[in-house]
Amino acid sequence: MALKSKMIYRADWAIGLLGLVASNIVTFLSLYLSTLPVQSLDGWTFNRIMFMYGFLLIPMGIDHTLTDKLWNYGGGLINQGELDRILMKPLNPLFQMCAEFFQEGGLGEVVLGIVFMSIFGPGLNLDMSFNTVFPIVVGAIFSPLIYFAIKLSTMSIAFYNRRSISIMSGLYNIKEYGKYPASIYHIGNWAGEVVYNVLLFILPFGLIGYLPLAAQMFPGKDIPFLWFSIPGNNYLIMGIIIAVALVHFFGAYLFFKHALKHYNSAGA
Amino acid sequence: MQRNPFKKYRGFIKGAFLNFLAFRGEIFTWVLQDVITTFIMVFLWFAIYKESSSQIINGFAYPQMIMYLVFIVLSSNWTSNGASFQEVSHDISDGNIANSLTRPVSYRGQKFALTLGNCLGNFLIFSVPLFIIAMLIFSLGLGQPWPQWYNILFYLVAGCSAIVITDSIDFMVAQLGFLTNSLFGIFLIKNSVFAFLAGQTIPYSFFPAWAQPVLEYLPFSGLGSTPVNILIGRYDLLQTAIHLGVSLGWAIFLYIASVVANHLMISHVESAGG
Repeated sequence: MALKSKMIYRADWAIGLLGLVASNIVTFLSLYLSTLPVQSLDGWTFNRIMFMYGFLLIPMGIDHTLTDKLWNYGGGLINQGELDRILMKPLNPLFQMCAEFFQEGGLGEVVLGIVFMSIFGPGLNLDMSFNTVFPIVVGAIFSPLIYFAIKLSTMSIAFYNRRSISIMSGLYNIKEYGKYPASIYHIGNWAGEVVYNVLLFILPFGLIGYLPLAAQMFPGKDIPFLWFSIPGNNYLIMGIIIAVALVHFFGAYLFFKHALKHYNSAGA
Repeated sequence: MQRNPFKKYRGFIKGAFLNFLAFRGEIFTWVLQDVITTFIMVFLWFAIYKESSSQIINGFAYPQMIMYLVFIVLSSNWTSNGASFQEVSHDISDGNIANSLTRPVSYRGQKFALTLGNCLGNFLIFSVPLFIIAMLIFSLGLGQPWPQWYNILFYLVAGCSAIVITDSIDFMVAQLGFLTNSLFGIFLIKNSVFAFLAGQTIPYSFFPAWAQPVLEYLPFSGLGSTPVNILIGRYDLLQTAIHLGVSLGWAIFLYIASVVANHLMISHVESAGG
């Protein structure tokens, strides 16, 4: 029996690794095949896009490692009365929900992100001075909060109607479009402006990688922002990322607290 | 002797259909997600076509590309909304499987009937109106021709074989629940890999020349590339016949494979004493 349960965990681990590799191969090929017919997208060559993808994997992996359990709460765990158990303990419920589970798979994403960055980075002639790299790193430290906030606010809907996995994955999957530089959506008409700014502020998946790296890769080039544009200043962008991340995080947390009051025990 | 062996499954189809209607709110969020995805996809390909030096990339002009991508999203909506994966994995993890096995119907047939009910509900409630809206936009807005009636007919046949292929594979994948706890993770990975191999993210003509014929003869083509290419008239009648034949062949083969897997699973249940 003990052997059998060990085998189960080993299978889980192998499947997690396989999944990580498979989904990244698919992403790599999708990016490669869709950019193959053109030299670059708005100045971003395939190497630049892949470098940004590696960069994105790091905050995503950190969030994945620490808060993966939220998916289970959105996906029906509340129906099984799990929340009652948590609310009985004198500890912050959100902390308990996240701390229950440590997803090692997320660390694999972080490692993979570093690998992609070191493969595709050296050919790009990037500015590696302190005043460029430091604000990017600080911004990246706050970026996991954005992924977390999207998951948290959509998961909290489950306090009203028990399950929220579909809206949760629906909005979270928009992150796929953050893999391309957000400026390609900015095509010059109002619709493009809306999509671009939604990806920068409402579902800020475009913000995390595109904004800091655009400033690093194209120094001196202005970046469109709301209805005007801003200079590609790394510290300014760091400030924007921190502000958006904090606003999203606290907004999501307030909604979580509010929705929690709505929760009626399933009686389990 | 029962005169109509399929009659006993009708209840399952009807039940799943009504269940679908009851939970259409949940499905509505999926549709919303599709709309957002489609919207951003249109922009992404617009950017790619803007950068390209020619109007036509790998045989697709921009409006055709958009039609392909929109129809593939709509198709996967009604063809891959089967019940087998969730049903079987719940049966395994909750131990309901013993209960299901006592019913005087085949376990595989029972799950497939549920899938049919689900897909039928999805098709009637969401797909038909969305298809009509999409076609109106394409014909009036982009000046694209309305699909021929026989293409629509062949598309429906291809869609039905896509249901069988997806559901049979889901049914078999769900049996991994005996081995692992991270079944939902497997399901998501399976979905993203299949979407890629079915040409749902990028059409086959963007793939390397050696990969295209290989993909066309694998079961994945039947899940996206084949039905949509038929619908938008990119295949002539001979190509339609070949691709449809491949899909139907895989559908029959995979359904039989899932029945066999079912028998193996039942013996597993017995040996575990469940």
